[in-house]
This record gives sequence, structure tokens and C-alpha cells, in this order.
Amino acid sequence: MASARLDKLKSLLKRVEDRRAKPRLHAVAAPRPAAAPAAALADLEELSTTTQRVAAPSIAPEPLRPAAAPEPARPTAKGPLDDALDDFGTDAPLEVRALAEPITAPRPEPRPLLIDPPRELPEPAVTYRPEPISLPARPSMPTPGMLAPVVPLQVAGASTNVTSKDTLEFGIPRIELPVPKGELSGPTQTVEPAPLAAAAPPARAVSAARVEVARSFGELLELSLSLRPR
Amino acid sequence: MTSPSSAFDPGDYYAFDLSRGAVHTRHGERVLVLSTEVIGPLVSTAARHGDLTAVRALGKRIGEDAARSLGDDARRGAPEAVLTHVSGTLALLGWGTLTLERWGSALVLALSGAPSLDPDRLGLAALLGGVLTTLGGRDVACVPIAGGTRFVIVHPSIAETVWGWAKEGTELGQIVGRLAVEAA
Repeated sequence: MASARLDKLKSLLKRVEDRRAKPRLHAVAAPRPAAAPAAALADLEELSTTTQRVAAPSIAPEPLRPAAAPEPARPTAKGPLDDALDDFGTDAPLEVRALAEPITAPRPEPRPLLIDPPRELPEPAVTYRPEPISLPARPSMPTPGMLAPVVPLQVAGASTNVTSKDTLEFGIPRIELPVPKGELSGPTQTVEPAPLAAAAPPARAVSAARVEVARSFGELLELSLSLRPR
Repeated sequence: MTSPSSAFDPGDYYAFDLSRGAVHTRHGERVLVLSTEVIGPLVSTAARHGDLTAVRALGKRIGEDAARSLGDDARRGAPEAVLTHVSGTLALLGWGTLTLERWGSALVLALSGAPSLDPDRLGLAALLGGVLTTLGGRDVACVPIAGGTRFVIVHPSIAETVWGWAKEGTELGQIVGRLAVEAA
């Protein structure tokens, strides 16, 4: 008899431990049958006096109630040990009832996500900077020879193909005029003006053979600006 | 007639400040490097609206650059010396190369390799007019001659008339033949 009780006690303790290991589940005993076996209650009383060293704090037998009055459903606030003790000595299977709330892993407290930065930032959160550029000692202007175009020179009545070899300063050579220096005697020979009207002198004026007094740029400009329709 | 420096030095014309993202000329003027595909529509629109003031102002700045490079009063300089500096400055800025022709009493500019900005080349005419206005110290008009790269230099008061002749297809020789030096 004592061995059987000891076995029951061990089983009870194991169930208690199991329930403690599952804190989110609440074990609720089935409603006690109206006629609880008195022997079981007696056993419980005896057990409570002989095994206090094992489960002393909470093994308090429930008071006997009239058999006619069914015990209301126990509040779920009872501890798992109390519930297990209630089942002690009964054959009613434990009913594992889920709590109203879903059984999920405990969620950590939500932390504020630092996605939206504060409105006022003393400096940008991330700054992308270009790599430093190393400049050459002398920045980058091509030499005159590099810029020298190969174009026919159309000054002073002579058309000359100018290359970088014989070009002075940016492709525009010093001009050796076949006519007195400073005289721009007309367009190239390949671009002769069309025959002019009968009284028009310009065709003769642009002739390279005609020698005029050297004029400055300003004088030539004034001359051109003084032209008016006939 | 004086003999200012005939050598045009393109060296150090641009100063690229990459750390600040700025480009300056050697005279301290900040400039932009732009695509001709951007400038072309702007100039064409300005030409359609009859207001090429901005392009002419640009030409004046180029003329100032050329005058500084020349180092002397352009009006007193030799034509070839002035042409050297003007053409060099224009070429540095990408406007092509310039030559100067004299057709009788008329001066004619020929700009080759210039970007195409507007169909009638009025933008280039305004640019060259601005250049010569600065160099000559008085208002100058350049009128594009149809079918070529030439611009005849005339007084602004007759520019419309000459432009009318050019639009009719009159050749340069004939246009010059229709002009005569105004009696003093």
C-alpha cells in the first residue's frame, strides 16, 4: 500500500514538473464527478500528512462538498500543482485546453525601427565622396602642335595647306604676304567672286596683283562698315 | 599700325577645378562645357524669336578674350595678327576656325568647322558680330551668305538689306557689287 502511494506521489510530482515545463498550457481537470470517491479523498488526506516534505506548500485537500452540488469549473487561475492535486485519485483524464490566446513563441517587445531619420540631422547619415582626383602638374591644355588643324589658309590671296609641322601657334601661321604686308587682297584663288555688274569695281579690287597701302584692321573694318547700297 | 603679339598662346586657357566642379578661363571667367545639341535648339529658338542678344553678348566676351590675348588695340593691329588671336580664341571654345577675306572694300569672315545651330546661321552671325563689335569699338553686323560659310561685315543699318539679298540667293560677289563706299 505504501509503495503504491509512493508511486502515485512520484507520478504526481512528475506531472507537476511537466506542467511547469509548459507554461503556456493550462491543465484543467475535467469537472469532478458528482460522487467523488470518498476513499480517494481519504487517501489524499493521508498523503498530505505523510508526504509534506515533498509537496508541502500546496497539497491542501479541498474541502468536501455535498455530493449533490457539483463543483463548478475551477478557475483557471489555479496553479498547475493545485490542478494536479485535484486530479489525484481520480480516473478523469487530464484535458489540455489551449488558452484563448494563440500559443506562440513569446514575441520580443517591438523596438522602434530607425528607418525614418529625425527631421533635423546635424549631418548626413551616409556620405558618399568621390575619390580624390590627382591633377597633373599642368592641367591639360594641348600644345599648339596638337591643335594645329590641316586647313587651307585663306589669307593674303594664297591657299596653303598648313600642317602642324609648319604651323606656328595654334595652326595659324605667321603670314608672309605675297603683296605688301598687311594687305588682305581677297579670297582664295579658288573662290573668285562671280562677275559683277558692269559698274562694279570689286573684281579688280580683290586682285592679288593690286598693291595697296598696308592698312590696319581698324581701317579695313571702317572701310567695310562704310559700304552702303548703291 | 602697331605690331602686337602675333603669337596666340592657347596654353593654360582653361583651369579645371575638379574639386569644385568649375571651369574658368585664364581670365577668370567661368564657362560651361556644353553639347552643341543643347546649344543648337536654344540658338535656333532665339533666332526664330528675333532675339539673339545673348549670342551676341557671348561674341563680345570672346572678342574681349581675343583682345586681351592680342595685348593691344585691335583696331591698330595688323589684320593677320588680329585674325590669329580671334581665330585661336574661337577655336578654343569650339566655334571653328576663322579666316578673313577682303572682297573689294568689303571684309568677309569665313568660319569653317562651326557647329550648326540654326538653319540660316543667324546665331553664328550674331556671335561674329559681337566679336567684331568688341574688337572694332563700334557696332558691327555680320550677314550670313547663303550656301556657304561666309559672313559679310556691314554696318548694322544695312544688315537687313544685305540679308534680304542673301536670302534671295544672291552670290557674294554680286552682293559686294551692289555696295559702294558711302561718300563722306
